[in-house]
Amino acid sequence: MNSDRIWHLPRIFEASNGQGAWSHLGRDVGLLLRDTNLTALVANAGHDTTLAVDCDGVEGLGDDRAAAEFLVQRLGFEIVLTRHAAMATNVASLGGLAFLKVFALDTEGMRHSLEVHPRGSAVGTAICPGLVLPHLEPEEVSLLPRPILAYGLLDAPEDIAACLAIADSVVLRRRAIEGL
Amino acid sequence: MGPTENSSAPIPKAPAAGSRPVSARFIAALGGSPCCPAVATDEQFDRALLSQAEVLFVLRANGLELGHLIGRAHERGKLVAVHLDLVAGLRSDRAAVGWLARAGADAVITSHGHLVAAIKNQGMVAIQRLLAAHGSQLSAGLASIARSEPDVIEFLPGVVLPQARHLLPRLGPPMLAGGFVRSRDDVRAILAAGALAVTTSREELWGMTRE
Repeated sequence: MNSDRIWHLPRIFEASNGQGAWSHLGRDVGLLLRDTNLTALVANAGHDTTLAVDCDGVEGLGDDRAAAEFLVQRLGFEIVLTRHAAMATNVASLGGLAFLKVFALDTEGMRHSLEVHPRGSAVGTAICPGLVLPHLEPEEVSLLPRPILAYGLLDAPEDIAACLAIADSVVLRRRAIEGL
Repeated sequence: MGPTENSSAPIPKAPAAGSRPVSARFIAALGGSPCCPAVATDEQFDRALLSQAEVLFVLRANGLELGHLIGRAHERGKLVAVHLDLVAGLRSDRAAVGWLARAGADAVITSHGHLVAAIKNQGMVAIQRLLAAHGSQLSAGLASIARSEPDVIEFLPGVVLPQARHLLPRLGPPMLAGGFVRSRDDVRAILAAGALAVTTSREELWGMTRE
C-alpha cells in the first residue's frame, strides 16, 4: 500500500460495458467499465491501457471489502468509482485510487454528498453529472477532493472542454471522443 | 424548519379527491410566476411569503408540523408543494401522502413514481423528480415517468437543462427545473429550453417574471 503514490490519469476515460471488442483510442484515453457484469470485468482485466471500473453498475458485485480486494488485487483494477464511502476507503487502503461519486443535483444535495467523503489522499471525486461542473462556483469546486473526474451527460465538445479546464479527467462515450 | 405553533392542533380531515386546487390551477400559477422559492428554513419561508411567487416549494421542514405553514401560505393566496422525500418525520409512502393531503399541501414532490397515483388520488398535484446524474439514471427516470404519469416533472440539476434538453424525449407533462439556478441568465436559459418554471433558493430571483 502506498497512499502517497502519484497517479497519472488520462484526460479521457471512454465509458464502455466491456462486452464488445475494444480498440485503443490513444495514449491519453483510458477505459471505464460501467453498466456491466462480473464476467465482462474478468474478460477486460489486463488491458494495455488505464483501466477503471464503476463498481455500482456491475451486476453481481458487492460493495464490501471482499469486492474491493477482488477488483484491486485480483483483477488489477486500480481505479474504482463508487457511491459508497466505505468502498472508496477500502479501495484506497488496498493501494488503489477511488473516486467517490458526488451527486451534484442541487446545492444542498451536493453538500450532503460531500459530508461523507473520506477525503483521503487516494480518494478523489467523481462529480455526477460532469456536465454541471462548469456551473459550480469556484468555492464549491475547491471543496471537491482531487483528483476530479467529470462523469455523466457529456457529449458536446464545448461542454467537454469546459469540464477539462476544471477536472483532471472526463468520462465520455466513444461517439463524443470521436467528435473532439 | 422547526416545530410550529400548531404542534398540538387537531389533524384536519382528509379532503375528498378533487376538492383541492387542481393541476390546472397549479400549472397556471407556475406559468404566471415561473421563478419559485425553494425554501429550507422558517426564515426563508417567511421571506418567500412576501415574494411575488405564487408557488412555494418546501424542501426541508418538519413534515409532521406543516399545517400552520401551509395555512399561512394559503392566506396569502399562494400554493405549496412539499418535498416528501426530504422533509423530516415522514416516510415516502402512501400514509405520508395522506398526511400531507390532510395538512393542506397543494402538491407533493417525490422521486418515487409508485406514489404518483396516491398523490393524485388525494387531490394533490404529483410532481416527480427526474434526476440526471448520468445517462442510465436519466433513462430509468424517464421510464418511471412514462409509467407513473405525474402532473409535473422536476428536472435536476436544472442549470444543465439547456445543454441536456436534447437527451430528453418530448415529454407530456410540463417540466420544472431546479438545482444550481443562480442567476437571471440561468432562469432565462432554462425557460427558453422549455421548462415551465424553475425552483431556486436564491431569494433575489423569487418572483422573477418572464422577460
